[in-house]
Amino acid sequence: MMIPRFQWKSLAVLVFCLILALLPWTINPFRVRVFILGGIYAIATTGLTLFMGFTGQISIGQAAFFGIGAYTSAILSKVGFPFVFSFFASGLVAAACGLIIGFPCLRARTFYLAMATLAFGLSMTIIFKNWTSLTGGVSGTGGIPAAGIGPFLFDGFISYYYLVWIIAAIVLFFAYRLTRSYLGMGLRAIGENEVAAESLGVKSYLFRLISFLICSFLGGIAGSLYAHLDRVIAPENFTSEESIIFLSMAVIGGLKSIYGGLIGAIVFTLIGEQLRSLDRAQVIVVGGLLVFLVIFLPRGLVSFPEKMEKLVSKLRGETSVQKIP
Amino acid sequence: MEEVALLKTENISKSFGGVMALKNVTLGIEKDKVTALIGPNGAGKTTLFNVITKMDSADSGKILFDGHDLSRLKPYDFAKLGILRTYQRSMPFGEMTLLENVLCGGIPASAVGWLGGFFRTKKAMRVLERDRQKAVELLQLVGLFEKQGMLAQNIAYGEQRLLEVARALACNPKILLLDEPVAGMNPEESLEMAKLIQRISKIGLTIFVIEHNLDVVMNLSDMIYVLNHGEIIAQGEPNEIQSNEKVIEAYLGRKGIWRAAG
Repeated sequence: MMIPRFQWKSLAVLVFCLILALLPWTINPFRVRVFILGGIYAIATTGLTLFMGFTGQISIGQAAFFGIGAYTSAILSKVGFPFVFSFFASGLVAAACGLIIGFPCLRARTFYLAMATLAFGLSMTIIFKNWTSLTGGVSGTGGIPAAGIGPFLFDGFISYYYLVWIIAAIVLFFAYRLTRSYLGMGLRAIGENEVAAESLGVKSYLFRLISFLICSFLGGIAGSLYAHLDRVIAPENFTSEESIIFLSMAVIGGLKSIYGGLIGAIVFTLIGEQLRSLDRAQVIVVGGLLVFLVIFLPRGLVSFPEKMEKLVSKLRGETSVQKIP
Repeated sequence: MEEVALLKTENISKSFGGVMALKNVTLGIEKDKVTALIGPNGAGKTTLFNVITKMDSADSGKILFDGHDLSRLKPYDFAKLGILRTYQRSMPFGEMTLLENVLCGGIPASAVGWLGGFFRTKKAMRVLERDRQKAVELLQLVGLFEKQGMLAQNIAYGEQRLLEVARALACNPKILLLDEPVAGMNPEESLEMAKLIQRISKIGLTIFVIEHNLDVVMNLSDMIYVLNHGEIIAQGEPNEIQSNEKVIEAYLGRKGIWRAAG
């Protein structure tokens, strides 16, 4: 008797949630920070997946939105606004920047759009470094107050861990909803075949712009969470190199699935932590891994079970695996 | 009897570089009829379709739909007006299931579905449920009901073409432009498609079809236009076209040449 696929899936999600919930009590508190980072990156990468994976475009500017969110949240909190306000404000400011950038740039596609977003990322780094009165310049800005909702302060790693992952879960839930809605279906249609989608009446430019706004909004709120983690931020955290890391996370995890960003972010952050001793050489290892995955798992780590399933049935000598979901 | 043309082109011309692809093409597609456009390869048939749906812009001339000028519209505006087209090369959304493919026809129509579907409001869920039922019915119509859960990239080529027709029908078209619907199909698949076209035209849909397969065209159409070197060289009912000298010449070459050769 086969257990239907969807049950496997919900079981996997349940186990995953359980592991995440118990994790901070079983490991060294200092390592909890790594998993907080994983959660923050998961939010930003999910945004990128929604834009890149569904519409089939490329953005190398996610770190800029991440930075805009972080600085917005830092500055507002230091002025005295509550965390909840600066959290949403950082998302909205990033989305507003996304609108300003996306409005002209999204007329370009694929590689040309990649160039445009890269240029945006590079110029944002320069702004972060040189608008000293606002951002604190090269040395960045510190003394950001701890995140707090009402009287409760998230000033320890463990409490902050739960805050970040609850927000990540909400983001993933809405991303899942999005893929099932007409908006998500329109995005997928454009990604598959823009000409066919337009002849069905889908305004592809509008759809791409909306998904770019969602992408930058999620980048912004992830940045806000990042700012309140170490409570100090500097321009070097938001360079185009970081954008490429976001891009790699999305690709490694799997662009066509909403869980891709999550898995890519966790795996990437863990690998980065393990290879910390290698210093700059870790780029070589990560690069090699990326090449390996693109060749053997082009649809990302999320397609791993599917690939294994195929391999197993091949080994059993079964022919023609026609899957009917 | 007065003829009612639903879609009309007036003096459409289009050239690519030095090549005149269309020369003063004027034709009218009558409501609730099947109109066919035939002609040898390179006659400009697909170009005319592209010009009508603004995939290409005409150099001169006018396109009228129900009396409205279409020349200022964008490709995505046509579905809303009820003008749907399919392409010579099949373009299903390969990584979606058949049901999802057909559901895509409802994307632009339901503004409530956008944010409403996101937050799952009651109204949006009702719309979605209604659209889903309609999509299932359409899949039944084209005979793909059993395969609704499969990915579009995993079904046969002929089935993909049928799927595309279903997807276009989901947009509630008034007129359907079919670009070589049976191209590359085997005889059985062609017959299936021809039957489908007949069935949907009987529901009360205007159909404008480009086709190479003359057997299919002669059986299906109420009216035929023949395009050669960008010009309409003949028009009329199937039996008139079959005996038209100019058409035979365009397809088979000049009689004199045959005589000389024979």
